Amino acid sequence: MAKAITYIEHQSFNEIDEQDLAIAELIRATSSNREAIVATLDILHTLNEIGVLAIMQGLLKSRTDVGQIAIQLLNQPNLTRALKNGMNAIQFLGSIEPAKLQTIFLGISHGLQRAVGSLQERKQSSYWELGRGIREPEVKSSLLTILAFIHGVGEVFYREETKVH
Amino acid sequence: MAEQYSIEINGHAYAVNFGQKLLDVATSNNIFIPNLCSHRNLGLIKTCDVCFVEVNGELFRACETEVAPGMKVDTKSTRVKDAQYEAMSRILENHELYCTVCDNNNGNCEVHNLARYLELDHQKYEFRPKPYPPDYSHPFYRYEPDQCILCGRCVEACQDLQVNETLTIDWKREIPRVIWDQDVAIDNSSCVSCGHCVTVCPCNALMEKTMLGEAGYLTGIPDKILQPMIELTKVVEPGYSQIFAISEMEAAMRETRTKRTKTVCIYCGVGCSFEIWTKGRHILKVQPTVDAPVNGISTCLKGKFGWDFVNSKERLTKPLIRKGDKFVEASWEEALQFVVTRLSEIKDKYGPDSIGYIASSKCSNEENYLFQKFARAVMGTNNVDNCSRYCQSPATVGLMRTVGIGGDSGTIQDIANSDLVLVIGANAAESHPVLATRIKRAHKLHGQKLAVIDLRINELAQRADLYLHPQPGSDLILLSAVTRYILDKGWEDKDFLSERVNGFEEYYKSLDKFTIDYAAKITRLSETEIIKLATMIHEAKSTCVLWAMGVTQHIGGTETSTAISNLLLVTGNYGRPGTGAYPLRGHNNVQGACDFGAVPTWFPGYERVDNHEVRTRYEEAWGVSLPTNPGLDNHQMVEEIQNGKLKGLYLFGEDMALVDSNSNHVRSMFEGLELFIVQDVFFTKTAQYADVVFPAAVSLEKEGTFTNTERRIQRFYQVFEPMGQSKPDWIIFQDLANQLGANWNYKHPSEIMAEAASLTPSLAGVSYERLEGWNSQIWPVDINGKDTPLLYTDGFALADGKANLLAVDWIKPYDPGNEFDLHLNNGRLLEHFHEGNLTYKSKGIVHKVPEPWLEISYELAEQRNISEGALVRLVSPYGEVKVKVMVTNRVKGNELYLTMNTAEDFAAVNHLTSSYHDRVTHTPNYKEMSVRMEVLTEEGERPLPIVNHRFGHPIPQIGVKVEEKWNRSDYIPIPALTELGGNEYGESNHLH
Repeated sequence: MAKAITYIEHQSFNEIDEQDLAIAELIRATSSNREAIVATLDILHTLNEIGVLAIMQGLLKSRTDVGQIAIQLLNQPNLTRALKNGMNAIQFLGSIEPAKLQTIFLGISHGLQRAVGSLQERKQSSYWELGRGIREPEVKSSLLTILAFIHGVGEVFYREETKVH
Repeated sequence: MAEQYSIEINGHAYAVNFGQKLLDVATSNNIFIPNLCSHRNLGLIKTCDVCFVEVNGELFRACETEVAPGMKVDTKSTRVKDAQYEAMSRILENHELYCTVCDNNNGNCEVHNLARYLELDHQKYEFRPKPYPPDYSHPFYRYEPDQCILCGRCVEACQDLQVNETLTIDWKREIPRVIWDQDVAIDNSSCVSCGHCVTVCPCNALMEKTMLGEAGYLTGIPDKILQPMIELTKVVEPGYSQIFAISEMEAAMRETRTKRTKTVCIYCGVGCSFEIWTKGRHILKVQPTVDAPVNGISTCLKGKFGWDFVNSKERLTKPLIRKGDKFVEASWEEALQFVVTRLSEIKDKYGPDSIGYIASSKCSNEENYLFQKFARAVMGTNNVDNCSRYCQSPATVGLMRTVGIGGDSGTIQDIANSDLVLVIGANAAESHPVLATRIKRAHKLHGQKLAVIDLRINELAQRADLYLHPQPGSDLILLSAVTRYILDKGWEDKDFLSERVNGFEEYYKSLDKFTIDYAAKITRLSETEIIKLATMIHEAKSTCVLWAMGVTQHIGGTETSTAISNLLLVTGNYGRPGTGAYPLRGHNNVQGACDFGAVPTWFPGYERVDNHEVRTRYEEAWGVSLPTNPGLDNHQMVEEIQNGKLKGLYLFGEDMALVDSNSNHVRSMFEGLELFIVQDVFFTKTAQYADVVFPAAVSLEKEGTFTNTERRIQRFYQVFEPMGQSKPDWIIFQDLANQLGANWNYKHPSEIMAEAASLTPSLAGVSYERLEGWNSQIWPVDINGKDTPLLYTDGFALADGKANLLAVDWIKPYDPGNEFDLHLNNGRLLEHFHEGNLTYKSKGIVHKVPEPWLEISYELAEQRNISEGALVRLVSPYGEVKVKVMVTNRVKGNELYLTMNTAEDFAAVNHLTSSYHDRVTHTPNYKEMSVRMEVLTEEGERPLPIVNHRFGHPIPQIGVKVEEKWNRSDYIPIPALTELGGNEYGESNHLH
């Protein structure tokens, strides 16, 4: 006669069994990763010696409060501006086509050479020579480029000024 | 055939069908038109405005535009792009993009993906928070108005797919939002927690609480850091593309951690399938998909949210052996050895038929196949049965003897497409919720007629065009009278009868006594009501009849099921789309347990065990000689324990001590067993009587297939490892069989299925390869894999291909005597499955329904001077229970309804039911009991908390009422805006 029973005796050694299994598993994993673990322990040792672990422990334990302070710090106008400027600068660099920039750099470099040469010659220049120089195709091209650059800058300034927010 | 012509999209011609919508044409031709509110499982919503395209030079919404001959469509013009940009900008005014720290950033966030697709780089209209706090009141999901883009998908799903009609968008307030009922907290609304709204939400406005803080790497950040972080991101972000890049990296990282596994629901027989998202053993959410063949994105609260039992601490994780007055944990070796020794002893001493085997309609087809093979081939007996004995065996037999196959005649699609759905003795809205949604939808939107015959005014009854409340147990008379009336009027399908049906003359004679007058007298319905039903069936071009326990759990259950089939035959309602018989299966795999042979009379595929030819096939395949006589069914097994002939019982996945009728008797029988083996995931009431308890794995811990009520076989996949030392049932059977010398070597359930398919003609073409992913097969399946969604199109599954009309007579229901003056009905409810051993593990479900209750009518409450919360004792000749009362108009007069959601002895209904049963199949007559009611306290705390959906006040309407949005003074139609150009719209900056 099997009467209904509800009492289940959980074997007490089961917990110990499970612990043993877990430890055996750990030992297996440790022995197959011996070198990596020893190296890691060495790093940990050094970090502990120089106090980094203590700092990390402190930070992690009070992560919410520290995180809040850090975010507040980041949220200061100066810092957000710096962050944004940084990102804008990266974007700016990214937006320029390298080939075009290279042409301009080459031009500037060559122009510098000539400028330095002209300075060394210390030759007296007449207005006549200046006027003649402007008519030269190289100078004309350079001046038009600068004009176009100024034009472009102005366009953006104008657009930004009239923007409605 | 639909009229076909061609249209031009972006300069290319495409063939289209008359009536198709432009968006659908584009999608099916892989042309992407942005869209957010449209959804394949939902109707037209028209709120998001991102699908504007140019049609013959003008802007139209692609979702609502019907194709027309010669139509020229441009989906890429500047004007189209401008319109889409404007629409998306309006959406983002309502939604803050902080994707990396959003739990919905899983690669499938539709708002994120569309903003990315449209290359939106900045917020055109500044994000505007809504002046409403998030609603966390519901146990399973939360609504965050600030993230809600007001697309209205949730409303459409609630109103017109689930048809619970709880959600609306209040377009009249200054800043609209989604509201529940008349704007109450979600928990206090009529919400049935089905999860449709959460599933269709294209962003994170509606989210499962199990996802919050869990899905992402950064989403668990405390709010006091998260909010400033979002602010910081917004301040410094150069544009969305960078934000998107980071969030997509994070989403990609999540993919390695979040596991998405297709599974099939383990609750009712509808057979919903969906993905289950997990992180380790943590269930993040259930994510339904449009690919699911039965349910699409539909679920009920159990399928969507009821999975806590999987990780319950109460799971059995080690074998238990009875020692004296306690169970002691044992190793598998010890437990198996114990069982092998005891089984062998009993078999040797008393013979193989002294042991019974009760299979599980909750476990897989493969497991049921293996269990019956174990009983037959290893243990040498046909004493194997399953719980369909408690529910649908009468329907199976009623159908087998009239049309040949004991299953649904068609699919959920046929039910949805039928002209008339007649529901008898079934509470589909609570017991088969997703199937009921298809009826509610067709009835609400597509003119389907609905007739309900039931003692209770359940939800479908409330919605029905005709509700009939006959005397308990008189359905056969009503149905036969309706059939006779149809014949008398000459409304029968004469061609169908003469070409496809046998036995008409004899059957017709048997209807002699079933006059309308006689039926009205016994059923106590009016003649008009009965004639109305007959007329509705006559007027409908197609009729489906759905029934369940209200029909089958009677002494005459098989006869009434036969009468249903007779009615369908007379009216020619078989073998055409939208017609047929639908005995709704109660458990996820009650169909499959029978299909795969866990029945005393049949091998898999309903081939008789006493058929020599069939038996020889199995003997050759299994290499053993098999028993020749049909075995004992569940009911007979209990009887044979009493007669001293059954000494051992092996039961898995079934709480027979609770769910069999006349519990007190069944339990005393268990006490008389010499060996009782119980295998389950929990320590059930039945397990308390066991000698050995084997811990089993749940569906998420193994692979297999289930067969739903449609006869549809679907695969489920393993999500994680079995808990503790529990094992999949099939592995336990194999281990045990091998210890008994069977030498089985199944490495995967697919091998078991392959064996079953090779031996069973009706399953010949079933294979795991063909069932891969979302694929499914509806048996019979021929060797080439062709399945049969709709039965009897070419003939009936009987000898000459013709159906049988079978004369049946009414059997008066059991009556315990005048002393027991109140009729007791009982059944399931939406929130808990069956007696609730799985669903009570969910805190959220318990919050909604903590205990069972007794429904009594207002008349009775007044007569006995009791109010809601009163405690009463119900007494039957078989036992008694104590329950709290709910007073409701769902029941009338002296009829009571006791919900069955309890494992507590003092309230479990089967302490009241008897051992009387259906004459043919031995299914207990659970629905035939009368009781005496004693009032213990006249008032008390209401058993159903105010947060239950039954107290809500739904707001029925069609869809989201987008016209109200368009009528708002601040709504400017996008085409109008693009035509204005200039500062109101376009390249310039935006004034607002």
